[in-house]
Amino acid sequence: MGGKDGKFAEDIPAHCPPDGALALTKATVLRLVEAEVATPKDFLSHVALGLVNVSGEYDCGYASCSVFASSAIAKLPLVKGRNYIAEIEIDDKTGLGRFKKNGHIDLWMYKAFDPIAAIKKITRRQDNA
Amino acid sequence: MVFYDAPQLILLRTEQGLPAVAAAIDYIPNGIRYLATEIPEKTFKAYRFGRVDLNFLFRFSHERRLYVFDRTYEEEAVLKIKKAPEKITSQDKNYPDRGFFEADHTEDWVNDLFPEERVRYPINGKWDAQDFSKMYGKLGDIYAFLAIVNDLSDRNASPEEIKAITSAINAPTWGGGGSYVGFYLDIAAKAQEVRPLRVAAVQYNSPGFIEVAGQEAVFKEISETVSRFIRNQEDLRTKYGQIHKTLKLEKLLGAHGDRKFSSLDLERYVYDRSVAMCEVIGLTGQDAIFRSVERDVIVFAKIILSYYRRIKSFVEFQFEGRITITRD
Repeated sequence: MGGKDGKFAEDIPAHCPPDGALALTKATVLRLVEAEVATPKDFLSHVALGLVNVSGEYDCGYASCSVFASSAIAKLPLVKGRNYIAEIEIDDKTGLGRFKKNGHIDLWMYKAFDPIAAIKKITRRQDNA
Repeated sequence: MVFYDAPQLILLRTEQGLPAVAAAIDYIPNGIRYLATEIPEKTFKAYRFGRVDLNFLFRFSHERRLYVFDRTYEEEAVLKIKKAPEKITSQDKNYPDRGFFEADHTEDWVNDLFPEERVRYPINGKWDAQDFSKMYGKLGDIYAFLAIVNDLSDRNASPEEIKAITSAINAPTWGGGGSYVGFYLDIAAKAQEVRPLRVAAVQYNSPGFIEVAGQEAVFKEISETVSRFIRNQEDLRTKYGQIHKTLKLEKLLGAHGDRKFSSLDLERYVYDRSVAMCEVIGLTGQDAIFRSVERDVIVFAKIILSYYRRIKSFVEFQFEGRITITRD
């Protein structure tokens, strides 16, 4: 599958990314990762991880990789166990994105984009930071 | 409210109609388990407007109730929730850390939860900062008064909310000559907690505009109040004069201390005139105000007179041709 044009990294359904997803511009975004060395699993969507099993169409966000600009999201219970923050360089070759508030982006990465290679640095999240 | 690979924070209404905020705490097959905190409306609105953080809602909010539920990715509209067991509530990892606020959300609010309206008042002529301050001050007093009266009259308001509003109304010592400015400051502070009024935009150049944002229902009442005031100016002036004169003759204006009306007839007279003023202006919550001041006719009358003066000052800008509040 690989999405609408078959060029996306994950095996996502044809209705994803949604209409309105936009090309990205050069930016540095953040992603929570489990350890000081990131693995491809850190960038897989819930669909790719096998967590989502829905019979009909589902929100394309479940097939996306969430990145953000502010680390406040790391204060929430389900994600705060991920103690490291990866800074990643993205640009128009990364994929398509759905832009949300506070610099949050639902990201659908192209096959050609390697998120591990795009990491600038990984830092340990400070408690209550 | 927050999405990070999946819904991390969601907003619900419980069967009792109270808001509940639910944070994702664990994965289940094809879904997520949430810990929810059911909170009073007032506390939720404080969160909504950035006055408390998410941790407060879960840990410290008075009258909070904690529940758990499982939600599949198929997003059922009705969820079965149950009281959160101690094995969940006792673990710090199931709570958000301090410092996560509404401003950190990734999703927009659903509009119908908090219908906010922007109202633009066209202005003309010369305006300076002092004029704007005076006009906005009167508008703010009227807005706060109507917001508070609405809350007092709200059948869904909790006893604690009613008590808090009543305290704000009775904070000035009216018998000791309590300041009306202080009264409006107190109720404005209370109103700002739950129904903020804010300036959205200003353009001073004539013709220009002043745009304010706040609760739609309150702005509608303001517009109706101003229209009624303009249509019934003479009648209201007469009633105001009758009440004011009576209070003055009875030496009850200003600091009246423990003095009462010299007769029940005069007390009844002032009460009836005050209620009549409310009816002409279209103030429907006068019973709630009267109860909140423990049926003290002197204080009730003074509040109504002060409210009249603020409407009059506000409307004077329209009479001067400098602002259009209504098309009357």
